[in-house]
Amino acid sequence: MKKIDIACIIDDDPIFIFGTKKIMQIANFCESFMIFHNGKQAYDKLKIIIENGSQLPDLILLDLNMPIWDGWQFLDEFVKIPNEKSITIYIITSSVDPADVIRAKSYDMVSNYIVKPITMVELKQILS
Amino acid sequence: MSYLKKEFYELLKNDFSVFDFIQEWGVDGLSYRDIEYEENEWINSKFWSTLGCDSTEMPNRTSAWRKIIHPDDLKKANQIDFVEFDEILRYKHKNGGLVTVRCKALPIKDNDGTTTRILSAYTKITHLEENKEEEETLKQQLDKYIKQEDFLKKCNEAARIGYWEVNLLNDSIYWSSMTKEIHEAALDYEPNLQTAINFFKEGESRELITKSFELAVSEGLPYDHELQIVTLKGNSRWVRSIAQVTFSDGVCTRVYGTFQDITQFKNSNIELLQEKEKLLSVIEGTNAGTWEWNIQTGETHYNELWAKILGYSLKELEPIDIKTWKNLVHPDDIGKSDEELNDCFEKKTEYYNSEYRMRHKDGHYIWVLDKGKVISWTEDGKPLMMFGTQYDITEQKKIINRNTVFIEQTPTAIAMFDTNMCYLASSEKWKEDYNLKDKSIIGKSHYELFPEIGTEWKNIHQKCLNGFAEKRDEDKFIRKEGTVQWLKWEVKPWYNDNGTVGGIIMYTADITARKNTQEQLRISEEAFRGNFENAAIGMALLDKKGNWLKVNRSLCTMLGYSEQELMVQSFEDITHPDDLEADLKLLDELVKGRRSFYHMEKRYICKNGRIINIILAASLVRNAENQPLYFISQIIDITPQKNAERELADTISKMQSLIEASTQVSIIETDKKGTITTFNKGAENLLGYSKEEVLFKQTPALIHLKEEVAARALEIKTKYNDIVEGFKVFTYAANKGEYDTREWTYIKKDGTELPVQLTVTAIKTEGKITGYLGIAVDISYIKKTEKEIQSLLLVTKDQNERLRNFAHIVSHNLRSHSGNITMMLDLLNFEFPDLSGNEFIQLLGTASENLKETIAHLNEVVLINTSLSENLQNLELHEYMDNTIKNVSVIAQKAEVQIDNQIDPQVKILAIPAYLDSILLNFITNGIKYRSPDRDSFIKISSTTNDEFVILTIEDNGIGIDLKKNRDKLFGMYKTFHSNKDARGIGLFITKNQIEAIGGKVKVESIVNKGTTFKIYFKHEKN
Repeated sequence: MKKIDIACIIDDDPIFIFGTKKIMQIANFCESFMIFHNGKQAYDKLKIIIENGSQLPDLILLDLNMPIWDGWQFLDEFVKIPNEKSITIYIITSSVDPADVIRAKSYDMVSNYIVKPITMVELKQILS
Repeated sequence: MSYLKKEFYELLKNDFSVFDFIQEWGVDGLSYRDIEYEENEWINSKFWSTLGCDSTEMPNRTSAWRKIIHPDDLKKANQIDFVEFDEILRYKHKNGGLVTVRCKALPIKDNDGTTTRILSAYTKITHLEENKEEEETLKQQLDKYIKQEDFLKKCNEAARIGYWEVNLLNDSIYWSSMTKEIHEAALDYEPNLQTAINFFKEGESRELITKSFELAVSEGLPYDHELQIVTLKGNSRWVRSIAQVTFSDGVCTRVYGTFQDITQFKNSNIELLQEKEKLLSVIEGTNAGTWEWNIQTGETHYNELWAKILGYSLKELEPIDIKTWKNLVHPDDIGKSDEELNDCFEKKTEYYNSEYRMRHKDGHYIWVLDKGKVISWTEDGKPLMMFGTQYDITEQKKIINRNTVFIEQTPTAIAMFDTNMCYLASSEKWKEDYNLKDKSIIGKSHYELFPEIGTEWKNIHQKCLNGFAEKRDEDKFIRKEGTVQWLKWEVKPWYNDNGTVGGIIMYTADITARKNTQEQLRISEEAFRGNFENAAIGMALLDKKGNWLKVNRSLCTMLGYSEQELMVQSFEDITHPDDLEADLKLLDELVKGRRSFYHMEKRYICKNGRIINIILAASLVRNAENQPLYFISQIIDITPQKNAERELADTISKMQSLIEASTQVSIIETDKKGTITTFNKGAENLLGYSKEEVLFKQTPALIHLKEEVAARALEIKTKYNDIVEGFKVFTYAANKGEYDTREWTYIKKDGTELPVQLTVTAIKTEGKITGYLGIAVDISYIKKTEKEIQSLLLVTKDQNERLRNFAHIVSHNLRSHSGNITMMLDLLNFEFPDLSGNEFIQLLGTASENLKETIAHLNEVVLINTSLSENLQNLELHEYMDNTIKNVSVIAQKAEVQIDNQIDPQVKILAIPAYLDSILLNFITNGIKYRSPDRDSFIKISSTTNDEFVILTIEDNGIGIDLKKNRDKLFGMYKTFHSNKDARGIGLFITKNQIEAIGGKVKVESIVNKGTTFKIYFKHEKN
């Protein structure tokens, strides 16, 4: 298991964020977290980070159903920002709609599609 | 009659005027007659001596002079009683001559002024006597004329040509016997101008002749007409009347002409009269003069007759030799005669035969026919003795001339030839018919004029010249230009008075027109016969008395009689007694000419007693005299129509009662323009109007919404590009022959609206639209229901929407919350491992798992309902089943269940792969799950196909399902009927939904503890 510096969680569900942070801490594979509650907020902040040349997260866990900008909007805009560092993006959603799965595969940046709830076991698999 | 004489002498004494009268007028005779006793007449002796009679021998009776008066004057003499008499009378003299006297009469009155006696005085007229000789000549001329007329008459008889003459000086009229015959008058019939005119048929003929005759008299115009007369016996005849006019000092004195019976021509069905045989018999033999001549010496002998022909006696002609003859021959003819003699002398001809003129003793010339033969020759071959005969052929020549004249004037085509086929004469018609009009043909050879005449005709001519007659009533000629001409012709020899053939007479008549008429008649007769026999309708010919002459097949069939059976029935026999009178009445009118035909409906009685209805059309054929010949009847069996009519009437009355009885259906009938003609009880009920308010007053506009009518008009305009308005909006479709059913809103009398379904149909009578029928049903109830359904649909739609939202909630929100719970429990256990033994925490964990699973199931159901049939693919059923069996092989082995896949490897179905996997897996695992522990278990899988589906049959011998109790629940969500530990009740619900989502269906049969058979219907593969 390799340890990552920063994990980014984009989700509007505080329980999910709490749980996920807790699991990651327990598993001890992450130093710090960036938490955004919708796509727009995540995009704005990450864009500034990239422009400033600050440290970007290694991993983004992205929810689809969010207010303001949903996950898709975020993806569409985020891919347009020129960036040298590779970021692994996981879509973690409660949607089991096959159409969403297919759509997720169309983004190069998206590594996998995980259906909530996320378990310790699954998280370990992702990071290994 | 001594009392008359006594009276007369008394009268003489008393009345001097009588004396003066006698003195002046009675020098040649007196008579005194008793009017009361007409036969008694005293006649004085001077009267008798004037007539060369002995008075003592003559009785004092009227009859005495009646016997000797000229017959023509008798009538005049009889008029003596009534008028003051002054007439010229002729009496026969005792020695044979006629004595002409002037007779003046004086009526003698008695005391009462009544004429009782007649005194007649006679004066002989001498100058007439002196003209006796002249009269004699006239008489001879008359005789001659009569003879000529006799000849002409004979000729004319053949062509039925008569002669007539009207002498306008004395208004007398003369008819030849043929003329009388044509009029069917007796030979002694005496016509006058008026009766003659009245013979012409009233109308056209009489008008024409009257006018023409007037013009002839006033303007001298001749005429030639074909007219109709009615003879004395009442027969109609066609005649040709030709008139000529004689004028003297500018006054018409005589109109004369011919009168020909052309009835036969006109009727074109009877032959012409026989040829003019008698023409030739005119030439009668005469006694011949004979001569004998010594050619070498000139010595000649003649018989007495020879001289007599010339009016001489032999004695008068002495001395006689050949010069005697030569001197008498007409100077113009001597050369011709000499030539002919020379031909004989030079032996060119055997016989000498010459016609020439000789001078009669009286100075005129006569024609002679001289025939002779050299009977001996000198040794050096010169003619020595010659013998011959000589005939006076003057008359004959005249006859030929007259024949010529006659022939020339004959209105038919006739020509006379000599033995060399040279023309002697021809009629104008002949010239016209053979295009000889402007040619001089007399003396020319027929063959020269018509080189095309073939041997056939030449043979006929030759035969006739040998004394035979030839004729054809009809002979077809094809003319050069190809036209067909029909001729009637006759060729006959004519004879000289010595009995030899003088030549031939040819007569031809162009009967092409008649022939064509006959042909047409024949064709139309044949056509009629064909029509008659084969006519689809009954036809019959009946004679004047109503007996059948002919009946056709159709009529026999109609009546059920054979032809023989029907012929012995009268039409009265087969006519229904109630109809007979009307028929006979019409028949009578037909016969009387009041109508030319009639039609009637009547009934016939068939052989089997059945009564049939027929239409009879009868007409009457009349002959030229307008007499009825026969009836033509046409009979049409209209029994089926009649029956249909009756049935129709029944139906109509039924329908009418139906219309009246329909209290909830509005039935409105209109005429073509829309005026309402029927308004039934139902209409009254629905609309609130009474019949009286609308019938013949209103149109449907009254009960319709204007907006709807306008909308429909617009619709028609859009659809058919037709502009209609008003009433026509309702009938537009009906006029196109369509059933027009649509919804309308009726407006009731009280103003409220009523939705109706209105059907408009056209009412047709014999194919023509006479009106319209509008049947409307109250659909307010249906409308209400419709509205309810519509709101129900809205509700359903709403509910579906909510269901979709629910699915969304399930798939997204519910899952999130459930996921969070699971995650939190996970973390809780991790953070506080001590709590894992806590029973509450354990139960909470179980509840969380159950929630998660339920949400998963719900999600599957939601997904199925939203799947699209477009994702269907053609799948091999056998292969999919094999895969499924492979997947369950471990549990199947463990459960000891035998699975047998007998699906047809070729069969393909239409499905979504994931669904098919799921469906098959579900049924197979169910089969394993519900096996019976009491026996060896099996699952048999097979397939069949029908038109619509591939049917997959999955049969097991497991524990079965009690379908009576559980059929409804079998495919329900969360229904289980078994205590099986794995039964979750969601499987069949999802499976059924999946099957239905791909267009299939599922059926089940089961017996508890025997087994279950599922039949799954899949769609066939798509080609």
